[in-house]
Amino acid sequence: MNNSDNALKVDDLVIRFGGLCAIDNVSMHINKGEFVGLIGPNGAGKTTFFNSITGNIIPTEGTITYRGESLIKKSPDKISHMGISRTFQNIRIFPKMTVLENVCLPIHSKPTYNFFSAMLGLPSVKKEDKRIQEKALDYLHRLGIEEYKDHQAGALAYGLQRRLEIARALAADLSLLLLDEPAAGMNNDECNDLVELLKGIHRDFNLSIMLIEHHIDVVLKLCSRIYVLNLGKLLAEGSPQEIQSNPDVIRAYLGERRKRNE
Amino acid sequence: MTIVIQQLITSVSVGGLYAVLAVGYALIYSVFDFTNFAFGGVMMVAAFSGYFVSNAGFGTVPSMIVAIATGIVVSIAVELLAYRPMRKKNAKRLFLMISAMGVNIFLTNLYLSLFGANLRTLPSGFASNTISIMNVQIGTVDIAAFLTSVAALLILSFFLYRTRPGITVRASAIDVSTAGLMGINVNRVSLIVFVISGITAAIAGMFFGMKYTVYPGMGSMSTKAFIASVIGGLGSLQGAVLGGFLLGILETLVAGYISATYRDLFSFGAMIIILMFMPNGLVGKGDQSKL
Amino acid sequence: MYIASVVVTICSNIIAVIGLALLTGYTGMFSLGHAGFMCIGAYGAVLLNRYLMVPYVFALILGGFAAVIVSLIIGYPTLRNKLRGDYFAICMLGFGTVVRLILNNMNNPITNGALGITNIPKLTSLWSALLFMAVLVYFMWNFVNSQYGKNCVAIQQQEVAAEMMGVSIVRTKLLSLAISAFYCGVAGGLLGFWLQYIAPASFSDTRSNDFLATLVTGGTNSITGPLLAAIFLTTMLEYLRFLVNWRLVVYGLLYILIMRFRPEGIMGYKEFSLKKTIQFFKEFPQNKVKIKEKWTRFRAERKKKTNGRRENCE
Repeated sequence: MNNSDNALKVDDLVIRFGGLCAIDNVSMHINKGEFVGLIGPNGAGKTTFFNSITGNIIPTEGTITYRGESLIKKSPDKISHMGISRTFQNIRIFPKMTVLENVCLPIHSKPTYNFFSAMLGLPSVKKEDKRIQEKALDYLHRLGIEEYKDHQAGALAYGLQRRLEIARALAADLSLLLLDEPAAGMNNDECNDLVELLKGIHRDFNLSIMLIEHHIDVVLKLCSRIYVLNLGKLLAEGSPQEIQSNPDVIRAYLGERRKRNE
Repeated sequence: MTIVIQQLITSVSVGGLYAVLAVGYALIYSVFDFTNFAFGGVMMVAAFSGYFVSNAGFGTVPSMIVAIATGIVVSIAVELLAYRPMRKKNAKRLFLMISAMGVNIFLTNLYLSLFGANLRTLPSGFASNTISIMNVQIGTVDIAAFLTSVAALLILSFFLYRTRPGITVRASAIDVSTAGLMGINVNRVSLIVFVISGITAAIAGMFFGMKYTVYPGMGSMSTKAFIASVIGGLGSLQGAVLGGFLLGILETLVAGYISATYRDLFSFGAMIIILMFMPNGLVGKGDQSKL
Repeated sequence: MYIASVVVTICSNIIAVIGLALLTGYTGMFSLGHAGFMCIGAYGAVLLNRYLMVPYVFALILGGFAAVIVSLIIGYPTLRNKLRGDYFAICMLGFGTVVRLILNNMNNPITNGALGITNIPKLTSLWSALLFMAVLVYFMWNFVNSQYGKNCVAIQQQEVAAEMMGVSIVRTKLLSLAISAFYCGVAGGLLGFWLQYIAPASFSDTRSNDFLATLVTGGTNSITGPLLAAIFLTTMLEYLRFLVNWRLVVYGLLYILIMRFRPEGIMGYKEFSLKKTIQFFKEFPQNKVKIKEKWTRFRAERKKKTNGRRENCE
C-alpha cells in the first residue's frame, strides 16, 4: 500500500471509558478517493470511532493519522482545517440561523478578516461576506435546498435538515467526509435519492468518504469497501459481496436486522 | 499553641459546613449538569425560619427542625416551579442558569426588603458556651457544627450507597437519560436530590447563623460551596467533600493568620489556580460527553 | 441639566449592556460580574487622567484596555479545555465581589479605599457621551453581523458542531469576553467623568443585575432590543424611585418568568425595524381579530390536551 494513497490511517486504536472498552484494537485505513462503509449493530462503537477521528475523544492507545499527520490530541477545529468534516447522528444544525448562514459558517469559521475591520464595517468586509454567501449558495444549489436559503434552519422538515447538514459539511474546505447515519429515518424512496446524491458528491467533489449507516442497501450501493464493527472490535473487512456472504457478519448484524423488520 | 489548636478546630468546623454545602450543590450538579444558583437563597430562607422559631422562644432543636423543613419545602418548590418546567422544554443551559439566579435574587431581595439588612443573631442554647479541654477553649457551636456535618455526610453516604433510592440517585448522577431508560423515575430522583440539597442548605445555614449571624445576604456563602466543588472536582461528590474541608480549613487559617478581609480573595484565587493547573479539580475525572 | 444627566447615564448603560449582549446574548456565556469591569475601567481612566495627564478620550480607551487585560487573566482558566459554562459563571460571580473587596481595602491616598475618588473633572459632556455611545454601538452592530458574530452565535447554538466546522471555541469566547470587558470599562470611565465621583460601592452586584435584566428583557440575539430596554429601564428607575429598592425583587421574578415563557426576550432574534413597527400598527385592527382566534384555538387545544392526559391515566 503506497503511503501517499492513504488518506486516513488508524492503527491499533483503543478507547476505554473507565471500565468499558468502547474500541478494542481497531485498525482501518481509507485511501484517497475511496467510499468506505462502517456498519455494525447499535453500540458497536461506530460513532465513538468517528468522534476519535474528529478530535472529540482522545484515544487511550493507538494512532490516527491523516495524510501522514497525527490527529491525536488536536482540537476539533484544527482537525477541521486539515480537511476533515462530518455530519452528526443527531442533527446538529444551527437551529436559529438561516439555512444560508448555516452553510456559510464552515467557510468563515476561521475569519477571513481581522476583527478591527469587522467592527469598522469596511466595504472590503461586506464584499468578502458577499463572496462567501455566493460560495455557500453553490452548495445549497448542489443539495437542492437553495430555495430555503432564508428559512430558519430549525423550522425545516427533517429530510431537508439532513440535507442541510450535508451541505454544511461540504462547505468546509474538505477532502475527507465522515457521514454519521445520513439516512436515518428515511423511507426507501428517500434512501434512493440520498444514494444518488452521495454518489454525485463523491464524484464531483473528489472526496474520500466514510459512511456509517444502518440501511444496508445504501451502504452496499455506495461503498467499495466495508468495515464491520461489533462490540468495539473489527469483525470483518471487505467488498460488499464479501461482507454480504460473511457468516460472522450475517450472524452478528444482518441476522439481527431481519428480526428488526427494516 | 492553644491558639493554633483553636484555629484548627474552628477551621475544621467551617470545613465541615462547607463540605455539607458543597455536597448539596454537587448532588444537583452531577445529576442535572446544572448549577443551582438558588442554593444560597434556600439556605438563607431556611436560616431565617430557624431564626423566627428561635426568637419566638423555642429551643435550638425545634428551630433546626423547622429550618430543615423550610429548606426542603423551598428547595422542592423551586425545582417544581422554576426548573422542571424548563427542563421539560429542553431549555438551554444559559436560560436555566439565568432562571436559577432569578430565584436567588428574588428570595434574597424579598427578604431584604421585607426584613431589612440587620444582622440577627441566632440564639442557640449553647452558642456562648465553651468547653475546656486541656486548657483549650473550644466553642460548643464548633463542636456541634462539626459533629452534625460529619453525621450528615455519613447518613448521606449510607443513603447513596446502601439504599435503593440512593442507588437510583447515583445512577442518575452518572447518566440521567440512561437511568430513565433503565426504568428509574427521574422525576422522583429529582425530588430526592432537591430534598437532600434543601437539608444540607438548612443545616449549613443554621450553623452559620449560630456561628456568625443571620441576614438576607448570607446566601452568598453558597459561592463557597461552588468554589469548593470546583476545587474538589465539579460533578464528584467525594470531591465536594474534600474541597469543602480543604477550603474551610485553609480559608479560616488564612483569615486567622494573614488577614480576615482577604478571606474571600483567597478562596477565589485558590479556585483560579486550581482551574489553571488542574481543571478537573483534585478528584474529578475528565468530561467525556457523549456526542 | 437633569435631563442631560439621565441621557448620559442612559448612554453609559447602553454601552455596557451592548458589551454584555455580545458575551451573554450572542455567545451564550453567563456573567454577573461585569460591574467589576466597569469598576476597573472607571478607576483606570480616572487615575490615568489625574496622575499621568492622559487626555479624556485616551483615558477612557486605556481604562477599557485595563478591563480587557483583567478579563483575559481570569477568563482564560475557565474557558480553555472546554470547561462547562458553569465554571465561567461561578468565576464571574466571584470576580465582581473580589474587585470591590480589593479596592475597598486598598487604603492609600490614590484610590482611597472604600471612600472612592472625588473631585473628578467633568470631562464627559452630553455630546461626548452620545458620540461614544453611537460609535460603540455602530462597531458592535458591525461586529455582530460579521463572520465573528456568526461564529459566536454558532457556539451558543451548537458548540460541538461549531467546533467541528472549524470555529476555535477558546479564541472566540476570549474575544467576546475581551470586547465585553472593554465596553463595560469604557462605560465606567464615561460615567466616572460625569458623576465626578467613583467608589467601589457604585459597581455592585445590583449594577451587574441591571445589565443582565436589561439584556434578558431586550432580547438574546439582538442589538436594538437591549438598547431599547436600556433606555426604558434607566428612565423607569429615574422616575419611579420606589422601584429602585424593589427592583432586584422584580428582576428576580423577571428572570424566572422570561426564561420560562419567552427566553429570547422581547426582541428575540430580530432587530427593531421602523418599517415593521409602522406596518404592525397599520395592520392592528385585522390582527386583533387574528389574535383572538389564535387565543381561542390555543385554549381549545389546551383543553384537549388535559382531557387527553386524563383519559390516558384512567
